[in-house]
Amino acid sequence: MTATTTTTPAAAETKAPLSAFGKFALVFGITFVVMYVLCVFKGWPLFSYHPATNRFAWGYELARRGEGPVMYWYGWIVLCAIVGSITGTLATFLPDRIAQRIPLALTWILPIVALPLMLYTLMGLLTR
Amino acid sequence: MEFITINTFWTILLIIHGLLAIALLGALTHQAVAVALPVRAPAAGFITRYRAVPSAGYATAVCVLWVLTFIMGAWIYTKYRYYIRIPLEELGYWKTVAFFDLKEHMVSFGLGMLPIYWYLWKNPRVAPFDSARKWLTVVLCVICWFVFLTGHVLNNARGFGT
Repeated sequence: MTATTTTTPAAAETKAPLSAFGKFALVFGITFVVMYVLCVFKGWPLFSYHPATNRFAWGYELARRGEGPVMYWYGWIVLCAIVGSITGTLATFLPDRIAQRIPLALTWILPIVALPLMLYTLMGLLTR
Repeated sequence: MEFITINTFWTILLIIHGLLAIALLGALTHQAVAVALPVRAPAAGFITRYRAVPSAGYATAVCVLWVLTFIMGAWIYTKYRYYIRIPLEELGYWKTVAFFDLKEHMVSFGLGMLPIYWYLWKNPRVAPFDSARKWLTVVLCVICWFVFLTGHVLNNARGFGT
């Protein structure tokens, strides 16, 4: 008995090949959201920004006495964009049959899943 | 900038940010309604005509507006952190501050999804993309409404110039 790799018409209808940009965009988006959540939970900014003194510092840096608050959001965004671009570029080399296995639904499900996680990080403020 | 006060300058930036957000909200809502409740019969009333727009034509405008609004917001954010957030914390507006942080998170998720959103809309005839295209548009629209209303409430709590 030989194994066959033919797909049913129904299965063929549910998948469509992605262009190189499509693969990049899909993996970029997924990586961006996952990386962002990790950055918020782990405190991984690429850089820290001190708005009062207009000073940047690599990585995570606490607020300095007399220099006002410190901001990490810019560092998260840039890090997510860089990591997303790297994984997205690598994804362009994926064969179609593998790229087609990445569910397109992740594009809208991931932000919804990330919402309660973000709310959890803000519980200290919300319950104050 | 001697012809304009610092307060006026940042207020103008905030107004531009708000106007861009309104344009984005209009385009995205139009597109989301059209894709979620497509019209199959010829347009009759206002609501039906609202739903009957060619959705694909909005994709590039939505991406451009999202990025422009994001850049303006990111610029203003530096002053928010120093001149708005600290007084809000001193006044005990903790939930307002928390929702503003959530707004920043949600708008960032939307930014990350813009490339695939644009790609899905640039291939409107590919049937396997239909579901993802529709739901991603709806999710982006909901994010946009949440972000807009949160920003509006925050500006009511303490805007530039207060």
